[in-house]
Amino acid sequence: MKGVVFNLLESFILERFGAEALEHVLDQCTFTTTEPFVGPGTYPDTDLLQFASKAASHTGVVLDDAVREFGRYCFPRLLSMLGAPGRYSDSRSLLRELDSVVHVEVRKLLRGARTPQFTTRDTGPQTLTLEYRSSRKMCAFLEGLLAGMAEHFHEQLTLRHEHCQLRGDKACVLHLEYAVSSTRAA
Amino acid sequence: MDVTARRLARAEARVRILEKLVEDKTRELYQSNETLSGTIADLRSLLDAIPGALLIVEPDGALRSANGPALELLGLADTDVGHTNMQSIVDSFEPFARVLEAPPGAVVRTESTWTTQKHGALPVLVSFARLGVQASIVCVAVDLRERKQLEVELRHAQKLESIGQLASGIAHEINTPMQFIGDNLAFLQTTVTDLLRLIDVYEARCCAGTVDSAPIEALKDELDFDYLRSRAPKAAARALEGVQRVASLVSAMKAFSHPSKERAPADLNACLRTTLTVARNEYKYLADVELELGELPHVVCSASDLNQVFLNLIVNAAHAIEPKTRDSGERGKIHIRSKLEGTQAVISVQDSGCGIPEEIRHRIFDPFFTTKEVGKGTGQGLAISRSVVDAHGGSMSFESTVGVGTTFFVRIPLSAEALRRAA
Repeated sequence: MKGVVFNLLESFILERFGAEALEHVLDQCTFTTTEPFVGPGTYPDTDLLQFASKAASHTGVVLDDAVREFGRYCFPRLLSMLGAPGRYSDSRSLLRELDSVVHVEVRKLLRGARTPQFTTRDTGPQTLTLEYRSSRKMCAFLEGLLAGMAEHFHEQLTLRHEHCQLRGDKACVLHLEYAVSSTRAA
Repeated sequence: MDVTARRLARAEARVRILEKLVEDKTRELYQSNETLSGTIADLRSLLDAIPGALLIVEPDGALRSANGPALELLGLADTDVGHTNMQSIVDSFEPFARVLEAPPGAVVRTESTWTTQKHGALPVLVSFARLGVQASIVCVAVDLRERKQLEVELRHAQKLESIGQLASGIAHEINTPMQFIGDNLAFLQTTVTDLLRLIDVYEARCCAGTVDSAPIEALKDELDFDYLRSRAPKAAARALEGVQRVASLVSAMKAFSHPSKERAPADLNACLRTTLTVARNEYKYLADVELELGELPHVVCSASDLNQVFLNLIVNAAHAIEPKTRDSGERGKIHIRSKLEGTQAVISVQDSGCGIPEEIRHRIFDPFFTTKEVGKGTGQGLAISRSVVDAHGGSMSFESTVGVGTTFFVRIPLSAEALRRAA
């Protein structure tokens, strides 16, 4: 996993739970590296999992919920990092270009980044089916990112996670339904 | 260590790591740039080395890039590239438009005529393809001037070959009546001699007074008998000589145009004599020929090919003499020699012509190089001659003095081994 995600997790813990909590969580972890994480670096996925687990345990939050919240936190920051905050006007237009444009840009910026595979299928004017394949099986993080994305575009998202890799399916299949958020409508 | 100090230490460590990463990336970038520059230079050399003009043209015809041969072909300098539009050069812009509508990867090929200030109208074979996402057009053009000239020469050579084949047949057809004309002339020559002997007997009888000679004398006067008596045998002899000359010319033509390319032992002196007979019309009004043929063993060769070499040299000698004869009115001289020199037969053809200027001597064996006027020479004679001699394992050389004349030397090895190596 690229160091940028570790750095975002550090920021997330720092912002939500304070500097002491972060130091405590870091002290609890036994990472493969003794150096601090840097954005362009690449670190074992197990280190991220350990980091997230220790953070959830320290704050008393269920791990999946913590990861979802972390995904929601990450979305606007990752979008900003890619330099494309104004490029997309809604979640569906972004999701349709996730593999062909967004992840291409990610691989350009972060050498060695292993991006997951996404395919989308429009199922109605406001609905979309998203298929996610990744050896990391970080579908909770994906759900958080989708929630962050909907917030960013002032949409109300209803998400149904039908098939899941963690349950032995070949891919996670998520049915997404969007409605214009009341904040935007106002 | 308190929290702030730990965070500060981590931030400082991050800066160090990132600085190192930046250094590594800068080094990588420098090396990539070096590799890229080398690759670009290699590509440029490669593009300049290909024997074709390579151009990149914008959809509106603006010339964006051109390799060295393209600049040479279009007569442009490097600085003209951004300011030239191909629409002012090509005879039709239609293929450019067609390739833009073609699917990616499709190649459009067409023959076209480009007009340039340097070369005028140029026939070219052009391949067009669309360049990726930039919607530019890449053109590879090949200059067809040489090919077009070769096609003309080939057609001419094919015509000459047909005439040569016909000549062999015609020679055979001429030979048959010539044989009976010659036989009959020989008969008439004998008959005239016999009749004159008979007349002599009659005259003796007339002088003896045994017959009335008056009407005979009257008829002799009327027929100018003395003149007939002196001229008739000579006329028969000259007619017979003429027929023999025609027969020998026909025989030489048959020998010269013998189509066999197979190598066989041949008498090079006989080849020279045959060729001189065939070429007589080229030199008879311009020069006297002196033959100095030494003893030569038979040489394994393609006699018809060597005949062609000797013919080229004799015709060239006559053409070299022509301007001098025209100016001075004096007949020139062609001196043909053959001799054995070590393991080689050496044939030389020397003329008293105008000589070869120093500045063109290195080009005279080049294909299509000629100084002769249009229609008189194709510029292939010496090039073909040298290739024939080379194929026999021999060599060709020349010595020339401007205003004095030129001597061409043909050296053919006698050994079968040398010939085998050359073959």
